[in-house]
Amino acid sequence: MLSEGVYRALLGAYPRDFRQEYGDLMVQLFRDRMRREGRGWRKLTIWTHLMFDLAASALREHAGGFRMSTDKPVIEAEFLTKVYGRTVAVDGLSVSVPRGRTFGLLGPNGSGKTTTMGMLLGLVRPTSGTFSLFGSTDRLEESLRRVGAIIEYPSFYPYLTGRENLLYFQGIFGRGAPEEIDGLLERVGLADSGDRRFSTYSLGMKQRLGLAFALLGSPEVLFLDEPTNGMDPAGMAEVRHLIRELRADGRTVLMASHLLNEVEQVCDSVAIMSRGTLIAQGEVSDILQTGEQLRLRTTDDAKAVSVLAELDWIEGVKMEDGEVVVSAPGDKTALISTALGRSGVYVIETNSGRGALERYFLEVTGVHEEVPEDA
Amino acid sequence: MPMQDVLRLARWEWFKLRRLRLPWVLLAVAVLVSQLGIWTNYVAYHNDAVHQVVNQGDSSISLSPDEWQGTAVTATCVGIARGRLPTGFDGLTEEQRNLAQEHLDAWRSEDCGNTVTLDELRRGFTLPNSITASVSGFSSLGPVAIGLLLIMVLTASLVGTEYGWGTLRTVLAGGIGRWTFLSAKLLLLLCVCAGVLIVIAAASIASSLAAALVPPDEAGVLLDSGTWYDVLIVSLKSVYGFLPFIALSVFATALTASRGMGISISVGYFIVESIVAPLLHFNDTLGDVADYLLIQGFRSWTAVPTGEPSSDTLQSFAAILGYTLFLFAGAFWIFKRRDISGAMGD
Repeated sequence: MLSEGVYRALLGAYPRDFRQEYGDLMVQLFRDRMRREGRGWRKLTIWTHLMFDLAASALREHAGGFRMSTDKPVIEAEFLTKVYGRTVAVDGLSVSVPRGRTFGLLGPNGSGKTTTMGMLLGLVRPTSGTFSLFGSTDRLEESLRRVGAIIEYPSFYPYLTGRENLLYFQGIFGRGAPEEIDGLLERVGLADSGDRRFSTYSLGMKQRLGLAFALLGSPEVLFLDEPTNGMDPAGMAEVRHLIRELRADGRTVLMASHLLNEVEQVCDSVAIMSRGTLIAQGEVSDILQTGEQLRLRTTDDAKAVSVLAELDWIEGVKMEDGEVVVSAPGDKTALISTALGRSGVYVIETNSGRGALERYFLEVTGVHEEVPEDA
Repeated sequence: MPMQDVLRLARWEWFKLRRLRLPWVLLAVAVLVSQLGIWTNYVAYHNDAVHQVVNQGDSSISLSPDEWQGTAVTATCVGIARGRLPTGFDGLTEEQRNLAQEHLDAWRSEDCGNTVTLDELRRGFTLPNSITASVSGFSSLGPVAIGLLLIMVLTASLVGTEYGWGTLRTVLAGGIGRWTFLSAKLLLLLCVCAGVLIVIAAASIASSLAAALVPPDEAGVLLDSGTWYDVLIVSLKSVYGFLPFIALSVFATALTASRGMGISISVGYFIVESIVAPLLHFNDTLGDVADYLLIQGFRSWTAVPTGEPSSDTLQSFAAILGYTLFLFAGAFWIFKRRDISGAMGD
């Protein structure tokens, strides 16, 4: 096929190690997309789009600005688009999630996170674009048997108990053994409520059952959409701990959330979405390195500001909403507290306040511009 | 879509279904309604008044020619069916009796053709006809077409609640193929239909046994004329006849992604066609079209005799097959293509 030949030739512009690692996959994705969507003029449009993108990516690769993980991606999406009538829910999203990573999809409500997950799970048909799970673009059902997922809101049979629901899904998926269910219920904190009907569960309990469902048969990849939605703070902490455990086990997690600190706490990488568009993507640690914020309440806030302003390792200090907001690289809480104490100012309360990721998020999504002043 | 996956899913669908209250309520209604006929026959067999009610207003004749000088003979269809002499018959001369008998024979052949005879009533509560009658009564278009309505409600509920509760998304996200899932549901529905008929048959056997034991028929007749082969044929025909209605219900539910709408559309279609089809017969051309409508096809399929296949049998068989294939194809196509959203609260 001529177009595939041209595509392969353009791939030659990439560095050798990149070609060896991703060349075949990219050609396969190209071939699949042309086969699925290539009709008449549409074929030419897609082809041109892909060629430009390929050339641009190759240039970025040479310039060193495009960092690729050496891990083979478990989840990969290319120009994923979903249009509902005149609304573009997801617009040309391209993400890649390497094995063993916790990847966050961060964005305000309505930004297209759930639709993206729906497309990756085969629940929503993409208007255009391709995706692969475990490197496979077809045989989605087979790939999904290695995936555990909760989407948006845990949906189970209301007249069945939590245990019966898990037993049913275990049976239809053919995953694991019935004996594992007790362990799963215990792991998510539902050991005492497993025999209650799902309809009697609180939202937090439903969310916990959703997590147990996602963990059925120890899947390699987990899709968690707002996993702490409706949970109390203790429950949220438990879930975050659980996700960190999963990561330590080598599982790949794709987590959608609108909670910045949640993504900050559990994810390695993050893709920030707004109005269906991918705005930014990167390692959480990279973003956090740009600076930490600490919000303090002290016995003398004005004096605290002047004391901290004198310290050369403090990047910035100001009063905001009756609190002292300090910007400093890394965790400097103890040093700040010590410095203030020496000047006779004592810290009453500290919290991390708006973190680096939040500032970055507000900056790139422009959400702060939409918040009314009286909000 | 490996068959073993469909079978496994169907088994787990049963796990869910048997924990619901709805199918058991529907089954109880089905059994009660189906047994009603058996006990009506039993009571009518033993009671004149009920026999008349069964005949929906008994026809009667009164003969009193002038030459009989005031002597009158009165007869009813039910009376004749029950082997009773007409009132006043004893007082007639031989010649008058012959004349009266001629009149009565002519009247009977004209007006008593639909009278249920005692033999027919007895066969209605003795084996094996009690089973045949209750199964075909459940599945045919009787006064309320109870079987079809129950099956359509059950089908729409089984498919529609998956949309309403949002569980379809949970199922499909785990790698269950859409066709596999729907096929498993349909397989289960067919098994349920067959199961319902088996339960009705078992209830009919119990009813016949009870009818033979309870007064006034202690140690009465349990087995009567009729073939067990008919039971099998009627049951198979019933299950086949249910197919297009299951397909209609699945199609309507998949189209609207709602249990309530699925029930409304399928039952609504049933009512509309029942009203419109007779009206179409006022016109010859439209009347021909009406013969190929779903319910008309089903009516002739369940009405045709169980013996040799006739052209009506083949026509209704083909019509049912056509509707079934068309509606299932539409339902599967929609089910395969539609985006799955969360719980819709139906």
